[in-house]
Amino acid sequence: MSEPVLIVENLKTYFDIAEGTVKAVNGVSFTLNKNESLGVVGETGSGKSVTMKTIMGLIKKPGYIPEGKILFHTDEFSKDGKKEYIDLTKLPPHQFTRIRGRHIAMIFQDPMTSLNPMYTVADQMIETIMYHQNVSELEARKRAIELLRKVGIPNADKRIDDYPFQFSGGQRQRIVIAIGLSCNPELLIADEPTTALDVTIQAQILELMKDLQNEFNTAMIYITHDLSVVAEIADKVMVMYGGMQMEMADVNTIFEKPTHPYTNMLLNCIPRHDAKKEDLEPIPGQPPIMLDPPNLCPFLPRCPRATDRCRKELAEFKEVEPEHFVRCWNPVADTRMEGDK
Amino acid sequence: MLLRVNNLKKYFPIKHGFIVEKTVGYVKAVDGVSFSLDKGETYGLVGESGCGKTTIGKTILRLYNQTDGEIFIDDKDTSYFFMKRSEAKEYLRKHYIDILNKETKKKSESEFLRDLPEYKKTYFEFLIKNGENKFIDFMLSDLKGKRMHFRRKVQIVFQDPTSSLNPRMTVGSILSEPLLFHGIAKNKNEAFDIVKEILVNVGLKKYHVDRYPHQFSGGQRQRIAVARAAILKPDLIILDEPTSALDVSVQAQIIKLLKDLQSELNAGYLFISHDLGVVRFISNYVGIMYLGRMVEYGDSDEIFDNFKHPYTEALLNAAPVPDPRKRRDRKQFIIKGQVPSPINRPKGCFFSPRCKYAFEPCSKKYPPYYEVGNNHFVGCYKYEPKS
Ligand SMILES: Nc1ncnc2c1ncn2[C@@H]1O[C@H](COP(=O)(O)OP(=O)(O)OP(=O)(O)O)[C@@H](O)[C@H]1O
Ligand SMILES: Nc1ncnc2c1ncn2[C@@H]1O[C@H](COP(=O)(O)OP(=O)(O)OP(=O)(O)O)[C@@H](O)[C@H]1O
Ligand code: SF4
Ligand code: SF4
Ligand SMILES: [Mg+2]
Ligand SMILES: [Mg+2]
Repeated sequence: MSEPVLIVENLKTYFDIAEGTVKAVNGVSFTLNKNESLGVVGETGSGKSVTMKTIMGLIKKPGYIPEGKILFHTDEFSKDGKKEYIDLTKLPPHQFTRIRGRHIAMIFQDPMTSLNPMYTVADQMIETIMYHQNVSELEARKRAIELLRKVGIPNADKRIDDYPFQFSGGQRQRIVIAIGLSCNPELLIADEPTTALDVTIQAQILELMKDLQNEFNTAMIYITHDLSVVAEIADKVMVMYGGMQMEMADVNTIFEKPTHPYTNMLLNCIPRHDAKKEDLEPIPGQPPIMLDPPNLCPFLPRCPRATDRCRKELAEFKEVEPEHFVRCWNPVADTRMEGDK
Repeated sequence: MLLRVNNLKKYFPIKHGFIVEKTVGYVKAVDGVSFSLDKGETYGLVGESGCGKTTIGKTILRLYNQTDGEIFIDDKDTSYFFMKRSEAKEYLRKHYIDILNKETKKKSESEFLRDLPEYKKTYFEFLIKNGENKFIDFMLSDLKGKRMHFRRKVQIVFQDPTSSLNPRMTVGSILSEPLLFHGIAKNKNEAFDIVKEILVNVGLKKYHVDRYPHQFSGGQRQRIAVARAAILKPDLIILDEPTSALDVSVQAQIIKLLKDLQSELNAGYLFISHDLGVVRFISNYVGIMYLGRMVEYGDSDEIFDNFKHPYTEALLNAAPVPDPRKRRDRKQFIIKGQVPSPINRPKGCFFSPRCKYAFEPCSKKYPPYYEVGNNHFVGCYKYEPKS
């Protein structure tokens, strides 16, 4: 197997605010291979977006990275053309522009945050392509139209000269995907790209992303709070809670053998349209507070399996079987017993 | 029957011009929707953005007057309660006096009355007995009282609890306002006693009365919004995407709360959502909407297990399920394009330009409903009985 595209080691991102320290990301580690897609799920405020913004070098004051490494495999700075691992946490901002948008692209939930309403789609795409691919304007325009076609914009050769507001929400999101892919990145990070869209449009975009990923061999990180979307698109799943990883495994394991109490309970409280459920088992309690949290399991206040040990020390993120990691003192042994059907 | 919606239409005019405004067309947001709902039951409305769900909810709540159609609550005609007097008169003429005059040309009064549904009989009997003028006077009498009663009996919960709760008022004041307004509590102390009770009922604490909305999490705020809707013990609650802004784990808490509350109040719910799983879980009946009309409706389990309409098929196959082993083979179901604008609707069946089953009759006339199962109706020519 080839080397991973991305290796994240014990990454921490904190925000110092007046009231104390928000430990938004509190020791996250994972690796990502070519053509692999990692689904990231978790409660709101669990640190999903901040983790990805950290990887993209987008953390601003009062945020900082007290610890951790983000190793990205790239030839961008190499002298002999061979790929090497660059630690993105150490990369100065002016050098980050050589990575962001060129080797790592990001798609946000609201396409308007990534599109400039004052410029036509052509203006925005051609500039990116010329900048990153070193081609003439004419060639860049040709490539841009081709990409718009790929993402399913009808009459791409004409519509490329329209402004963002002249497109529907779903089309705008596709344009953002086209722009993201225009630099042919090694890593694509999508943060809830379909949350605001209707299911039929979401299905179109998910299929599109799967196809493009296969075509370009892109590694992908897909953030969502929707477990069904994760089941649809991810190879590997990371479940976050309170700034930490609770569980990580391949997608089938997560859905069939959820071992962390949070994952397990989360799966038992989703209503399904394809099966009749007599009852739902909500997770009692409130989402965690991230301000100066104790160094304990963040799920502790809501966990029915908690024991004295959980109140004393934090469990490690441990490999319980090959490629299946869990952070818990009392993992669920024989999994999805209750609740499902 | 708690709620009857008959052939409801709501058109929004599109205006142009600076000095003289001209209506140049209509957004046909809701265009002929009928359904009914009993106490203690839930009717789910699903469909993609812009198909008219919220407009139906707001029209039933009488935040809009309908363009056409009738809304009966508890077998009382509420359609004209919030109209101007002249409009209300016009409504009553069109829906009662004209009907009576027209029908009794063809048949006798007693025959006409016999053929009427029970809930309309009283109105027409009164009209026949007392004549037009007395009928209108009677219907328009005490409109203020009728409105007050209506506002007490029908409540709504919106998607976004943050914008629907006044940030400058404590939870106690927010919740005691309707109690004082409707004279259910005589003073603030009495109101606060009731408020504390309902707070516990929705899973909050008595001491929360003195807090402000921003001091709560999103899920807790939605509990407050639910408490506000429930505090007057309404008969009908319209829930417009009440869980869409919430985390999965909190969403389940709110759904459970709504279910418990329903068995306590025996209220009817109109549950609006684009989340098909949530709708299936909570609803007894569902209506699948497309461009202002229902394309398929009936018993919830029946619809979800035996859906027939090509749009329902596309919608349900597009919605992912939390099971990775069920993915991959769905490409065939994906529908192309997007929902057309309600200003410029396709000819014939509105779904025809995107429908892979479309055949000859589809582009001519909008299809009628065919019964395809026990309380299961489909508006699609594929199901026209062969004769
Ligand atoms: N600039 C900032 N300053 C202070 N705190 C921040 C900042 N940005 C994020 N946070 C905090 O960091 C935590 C993690 O936020 P993050 O946006 O990563 O959550 P998330 O998992 O993406 O949630 P969601 O599902 O709601 O998008 C939250 O508690 C948030 O309030
Ligand atoms: N006050 C209004 N004036 C003009 N048009 C309106 C008004 N309210 C709604 N519409 C239009 O009517 C149609 C139906 O809107 P509605 O809000 O009922 O849809 P919805 O099904 O609730 O959608 P969503 O899922 O996005 O909430 C849309 O095309 C909308 O733009
Ligand atoms: S470590 Fe303890 S509190 Fe945390 S999830 Fe496991 S059992 Fe629950
Ligand atoms: S009536 Fe025709 S176009 Fe409409 S849904 Fe049925 S088959 Fe498709
Ligand atoms: Mg986020
Ligand atoms: Mg709506």
